[in-house]
Amino acid sequence: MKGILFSLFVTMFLNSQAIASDYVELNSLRFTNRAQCAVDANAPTNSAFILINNMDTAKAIYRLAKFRGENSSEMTKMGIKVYRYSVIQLLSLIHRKLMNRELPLLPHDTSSESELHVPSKYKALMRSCRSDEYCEGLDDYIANIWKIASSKSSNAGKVVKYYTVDNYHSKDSYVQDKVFEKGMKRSGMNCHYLKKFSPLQAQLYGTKPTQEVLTKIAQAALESEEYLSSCEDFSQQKNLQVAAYQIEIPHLKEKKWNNKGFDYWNSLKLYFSWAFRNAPEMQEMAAPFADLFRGVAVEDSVMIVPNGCKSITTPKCDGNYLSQNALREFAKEDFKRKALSLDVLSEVPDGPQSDLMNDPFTEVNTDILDLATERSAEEWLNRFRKNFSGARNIMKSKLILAMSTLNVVTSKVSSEKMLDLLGQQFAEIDNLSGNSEEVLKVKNDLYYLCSESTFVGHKEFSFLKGKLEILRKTTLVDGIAGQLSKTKTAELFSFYEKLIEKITTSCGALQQKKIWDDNFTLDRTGFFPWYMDKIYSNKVESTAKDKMIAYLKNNSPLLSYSSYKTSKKFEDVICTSASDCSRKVIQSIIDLYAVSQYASTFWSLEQKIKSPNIFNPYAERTTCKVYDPWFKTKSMIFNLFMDMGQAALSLTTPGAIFGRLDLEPGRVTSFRQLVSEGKIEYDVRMKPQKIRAGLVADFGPLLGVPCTVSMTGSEYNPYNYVRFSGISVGACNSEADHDLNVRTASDMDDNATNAHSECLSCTLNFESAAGALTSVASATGPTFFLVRGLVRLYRALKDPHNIPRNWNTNPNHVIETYKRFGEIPKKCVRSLRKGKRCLANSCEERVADKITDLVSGQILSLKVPRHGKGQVKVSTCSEPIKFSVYRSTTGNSGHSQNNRDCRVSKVKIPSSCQGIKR
Amino acid sequence: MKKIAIIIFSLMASNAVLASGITTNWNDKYQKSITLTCGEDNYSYTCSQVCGNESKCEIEEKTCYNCLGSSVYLTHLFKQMGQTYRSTNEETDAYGFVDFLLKNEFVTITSKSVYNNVDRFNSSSLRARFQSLCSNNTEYPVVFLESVGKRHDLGKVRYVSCGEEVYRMTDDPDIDFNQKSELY
Repeated sequence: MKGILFSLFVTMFLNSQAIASDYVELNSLRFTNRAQCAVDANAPTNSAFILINNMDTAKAIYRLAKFRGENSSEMTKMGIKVYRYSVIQLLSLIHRKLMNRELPLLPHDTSSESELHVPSKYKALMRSCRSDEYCEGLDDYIANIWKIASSKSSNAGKVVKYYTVDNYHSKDSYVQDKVFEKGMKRSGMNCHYLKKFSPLQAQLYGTKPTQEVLTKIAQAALESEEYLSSCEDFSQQKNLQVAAYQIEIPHLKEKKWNNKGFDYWNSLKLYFSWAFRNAPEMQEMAAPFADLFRGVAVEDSVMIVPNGCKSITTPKCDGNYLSQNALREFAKEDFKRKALSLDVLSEVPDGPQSDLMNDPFTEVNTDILDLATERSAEEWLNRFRKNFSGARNIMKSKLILAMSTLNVVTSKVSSEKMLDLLGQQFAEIDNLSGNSEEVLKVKNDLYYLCSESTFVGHKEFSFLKGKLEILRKTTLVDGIAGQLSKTKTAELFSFYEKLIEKITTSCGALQQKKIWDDNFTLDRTGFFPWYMDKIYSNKVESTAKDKMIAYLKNNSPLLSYSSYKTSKKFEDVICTSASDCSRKVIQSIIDLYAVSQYASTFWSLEQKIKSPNIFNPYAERTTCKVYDPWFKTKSMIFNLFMDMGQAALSLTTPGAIFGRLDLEPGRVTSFRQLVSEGKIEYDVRMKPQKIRAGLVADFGPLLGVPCTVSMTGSEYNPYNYVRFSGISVGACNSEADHDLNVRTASDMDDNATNAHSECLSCTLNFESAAGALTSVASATGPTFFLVRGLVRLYRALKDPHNIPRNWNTNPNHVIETYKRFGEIPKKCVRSLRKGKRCLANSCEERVADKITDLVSGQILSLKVPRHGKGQVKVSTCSEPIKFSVYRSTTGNSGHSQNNRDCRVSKVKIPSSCQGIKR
Repeated sequence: MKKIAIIIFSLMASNAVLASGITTNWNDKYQKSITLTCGEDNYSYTCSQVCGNESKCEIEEKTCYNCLGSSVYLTHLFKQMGQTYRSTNEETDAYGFVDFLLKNEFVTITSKSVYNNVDRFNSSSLRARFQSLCSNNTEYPVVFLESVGKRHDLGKVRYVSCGEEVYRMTDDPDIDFNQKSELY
């Protein structure tokens, strides 16, 4: 055994030597403000973090060592290393195969709206598979692909063979060369072990790269070994529970990547889940634990999250996406303090959409996940893991208890029988009088039962009734805990519904004033915790459990596990009495509802790893139309055009555009539609073409926007026309025309409808042609409108958050500048945040461009003479690279000098460094 | 007399599926298997049917899907062993058990299971829960579950091996319904 472990170590060490590189190559950092971050959510990222929580794997290996009598500590450490190694290596392998066209892309969008070709069998398969059930067909499909991918055929040969699997498209189904920058190889994935979050991820901490930020990036990059290390260097990985990695795909052309990126990530995740359990390559990568690792719930253990605002998964306004993104709460420093107030942990959650509604304009790119509060990335991730695992355990216990209770109750007592038992329990209620403990207990018990059942079941007043009905349709709970129950959730819900209907009817028919008379004082502490949460906001502590325990001292429970007879443990009691059983049925249904709301937060139901956009809370805000990143821009343009339009109108003929009086107020239409329907007419003295051109110029962006028609003053209008007086923009009105993906609770309740509300609404205003604007216009004149338009535009452009803005900074350029000048000069800030180089002059920049196009590595120093031979030292080569430079005499030495005035030739890469050529 | 004794002995023995029982193993390549020990001639039916060897069989057991994780079902299994998941005390016949093993669609768990995500390894409480499945003081009862589909999903509990005997299991908890308890 030791031999196997030793040989594995040697293999891993050799591999790490082969992969390790002396310098850290990082993609450009993309800084964005709020609006741009929201826009970016719809673009695929080229940089991501792989977060591994190997606790379950480690525990299994520990037990395995114990079982075999091996050194559990050593073997566990070894197993963790192998596990991490196999995850990273497998991701790299799939990446290479995707980039080299050895694996076809599996499109993320299989809808008919997809612009790219979707292979037919794959499309049919994905449409037939439910996302919360195992899709065996998908596994078979990937197995067929992988068989070809692992064969010894040439890459071209594989592409031909793939036609036997499905009708792939030679362009759409593969990553093309044009996705990469010119001359760049389809290089591998850059992978760094993340020791500590630092200015190398500065885009997560701030929105704009200032001189100070750029200096910090340079300093961090120069000390990168403090923050990053090779993914295979396990000596740097101190924490045995978690590990964080940064992976980057270099040299991508942004526009082309935008078309393929989401398919790439979707493919990576799907292939990974399958290959981790089934690929023959895993036998070597995960040796000697390959067979054991087949049993790892890898989708719960590995997560890929974007490093910034861009996404790995296309944002979608559905329960699955929203609840996955709810994960970010667990990463925050104040999670424990806020836990009780978080919707995800509340007794009766509103659903993952509640965060959007409660905090629509939340912070972004300001270290929202408190990365800086921990000393290392491991500690941050471990905090995340602990919070998440703790919450998942709570949900798991809730789910298990609810399922067990409902199963036992439904299998032993019919709803009719339960009512019968309730009747017996409260048979004497009308005749009970006095304030004895016994009498009060009965009265209180009935009060609790009636209050709680009315709260969830009242036809008119219960806000929960509609929400809970999701359990009739959802299959999420069955997907997670189906093995625990012989009865499907829908059937359990039917039992509950029948019971509650009868109880609420019976409670309504009670002589309430007689039973709970003036002498009766309610003991509020006896309600169940969920009721306390909703009614008393947890200000009163529930003693329901204590009351049950006290009751059991002198009574036997109605339903209990047979072990209760000997154990007398409260945990062995299902319910003490008929009212307790009924209330526990309600509690269980509420718990199932709570689990269904956040099921995708805690369990992976799909055959791919999770990829929530945890650093961008605007991903879901934008897709659910709670936040419109273009709102301010649109309204700014609108205001300008509006003012300019008014100026133009007042300059020519006020009220040049008329609407017919048969316009229906309240109708939703667009200006363009009204024109085409002939509802809009022009002043006969104006030429229609001129008016149309003027309209497009003035209202261009808004002509097609659906708006509500509004009319003022029309009843006094002596003419047959109303005058068009412009478009006004409102904010955040509810719209119902969203695309619902009915899968979880949050998609179907009232709150979800709000979650899809539109934040841009507009009104087409018409007013009486006899209105007063003519006099306003004549009094103020066109200049007023023009000036107002420009002032508004100026003010709007100064909005730091809501006009999309971005800055790209290449860390390699920042280091070059820092090394060249010993600081980041102020004059360089502008260039550097445009992603450009900034050296002493454009000739130096030209040399640097030329050298980095030819070889990989950072430029450490450069000597560029005016004419003749120069040399550059790069981080990847111990000897200098020589070249010749020629500058025309007409140019000057400053930045204004054109690149064409500086010619670089005869670049000689030392023979010992030929391997660094791109 | 001797003949009668042999017949009686054979009848008594017919209830016992195995001579020494079943053990679970993880080999040097960390692959899981179970070992059936049949031993004496009288008990050799199971082994000879399963692997052709009369005294001992080793059967490979595939790692089940997502069994190294925080599955709700596994948690429930380990927490509720002996309560919801209990022995029916109905001994299985060798034929049924052999058929089950021959299909090779099973997963085994014990109190020393690698899949245990609830308690410490072989903790006394977990051991007690497993031991409650057997009335013959078996130290490490082996619980057999179905393995479902190509993915080897964990299925229902089927058998528990208590030394020589193998009993059927159920996931129907034994519930006391005390109708008179709530009357005031």
